[in-house]
Amino acid sequence: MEAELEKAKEEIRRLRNILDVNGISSEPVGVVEADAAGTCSPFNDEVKDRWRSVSEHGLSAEDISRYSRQIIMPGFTAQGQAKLKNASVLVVGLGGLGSPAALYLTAAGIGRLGLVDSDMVEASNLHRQVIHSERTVGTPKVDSAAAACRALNSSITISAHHHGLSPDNALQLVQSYDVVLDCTDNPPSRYLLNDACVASNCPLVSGAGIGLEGQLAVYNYGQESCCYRCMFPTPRQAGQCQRCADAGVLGVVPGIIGCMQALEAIKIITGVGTVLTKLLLFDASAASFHGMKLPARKPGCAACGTSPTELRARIGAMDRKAFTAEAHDAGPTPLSLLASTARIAAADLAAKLPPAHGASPGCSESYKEGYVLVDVRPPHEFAFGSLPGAMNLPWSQSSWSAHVPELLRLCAPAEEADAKAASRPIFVICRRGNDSQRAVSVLHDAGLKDAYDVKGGLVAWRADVDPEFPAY
Amino acid sequence: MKVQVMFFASAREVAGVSNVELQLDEGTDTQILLRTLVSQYPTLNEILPTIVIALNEEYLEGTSSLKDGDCVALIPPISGG
Repeated sequence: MEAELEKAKEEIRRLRNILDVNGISSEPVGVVEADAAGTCSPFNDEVKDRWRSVSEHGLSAEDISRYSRQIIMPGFTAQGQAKLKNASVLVVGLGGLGSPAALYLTAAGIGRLGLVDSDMVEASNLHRQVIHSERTVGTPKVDSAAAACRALNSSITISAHHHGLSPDNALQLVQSYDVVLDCTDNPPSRYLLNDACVASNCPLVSGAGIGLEGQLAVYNYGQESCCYRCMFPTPRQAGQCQRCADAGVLGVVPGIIGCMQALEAIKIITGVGTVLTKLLLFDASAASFHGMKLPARKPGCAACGTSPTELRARIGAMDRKAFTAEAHDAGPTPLSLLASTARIAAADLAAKLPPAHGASPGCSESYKEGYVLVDVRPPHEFAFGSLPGAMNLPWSQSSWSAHVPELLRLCAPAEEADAKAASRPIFVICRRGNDSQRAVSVLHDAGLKDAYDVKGGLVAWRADVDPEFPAY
Repeated sequence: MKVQVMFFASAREVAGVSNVELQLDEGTDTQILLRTLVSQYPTLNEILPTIVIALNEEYLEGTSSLKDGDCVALIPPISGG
């Protein structure tokens, strides 16, 4: 009998060891709950205390239950969950990348989540920035995102940083988190965040997405790991940067990269799996991933090859203007190629167009009205909407001058003897007023002096003339 | 020898294709290859300073000789988010 009891005890010890190895509390949860409900417990207090003491991960029964589907994975365990609960992640940028990243980190049970963005939610964000909703259009993105995260998981701590990332707050923000996610949409923020992470010895999970392509890399993770500046030491010049507002983006693409950013952050924190050591390239058009093994840290790097003190000083001296919301939203820098006499305001153009706006007969026939209206946007943008009678001759640096003979003919048709008709002005319009100036310069060079660019393009047209014109 | 060239992001926009296979003379290195590509796609020159080159999925520092079957990738940074 005694031998059997000893055998049973041994079996219990063996089973409890298995549970502990898997990180699952061997505390008999159901029994304790029954006891709290006032029903009889088969165990006395001494036994219960002894059983309760084996749980060292600090998770509650609710935690175990809520996160059971990831805890139950042999490689993850309650220890992994506890590491998440005790860790903090800063998500900088709550757009196409930051939306899914913040949601998945929240769902996974990260202990503290920092959210940074100074923008407001716009309707054009919603196709990819899935953390926001129609109801939050016009409100700050951090508030919209924080509310969505709280609704998903009320047990985590969420810090909403309204002021956006700047050289004044970058170091302070980064220093108080374990992992940083770069979900920003502009090069100055990417370099600033990198430098702040290097100076603070904080891993940086960097994601980017545009069009049908995405990029993902983990920088500054351990002593050997290179940083963003090692990879891309030469910042791109203004005008070379592809932005979602100009180049377009299929919403799922940053969604996939943002999910992977959350995944790498979870791997860094929990130690599950192997953290990415490549620059991962996602090609959505071919449904393929390519990788490039990252180089080792570069001794001459302007960030990780510099002393933290020097780097902090450099961050403090960065140009503040590059980080304002205006700098991000303004699109390409407006050009001033033409003399003011060769430019016309949108409202002045409106006065010259046929009064029944939108009901004008056929496209490409504006010359019948005594002027020629040329829209130099790409055909797919022209298809969004165009001004009455406008003809679409998309701008191209190398080949636009080929349109000159046609425009010469339209301006001064040989068959018309009327001198008035022979000097039709040409108005050139584009989205924002840069390409239209380039096109007018070509016309001026070809001798067509009566050519004008519409200042500020269709953006100005929408603002000053027709609020119904589609914004994009 | 045949070398495959893969274009990503703005390099893909400039080239108008995602990849090409080039027949190159023996002894051609990555620097000569890049010069050939720039002469074929002149706009590439503008973005070249920011582009990272990968040779057979490894980051390439400086110049390397090429052999038959190599794969060279032109990877500009993207910033969208």
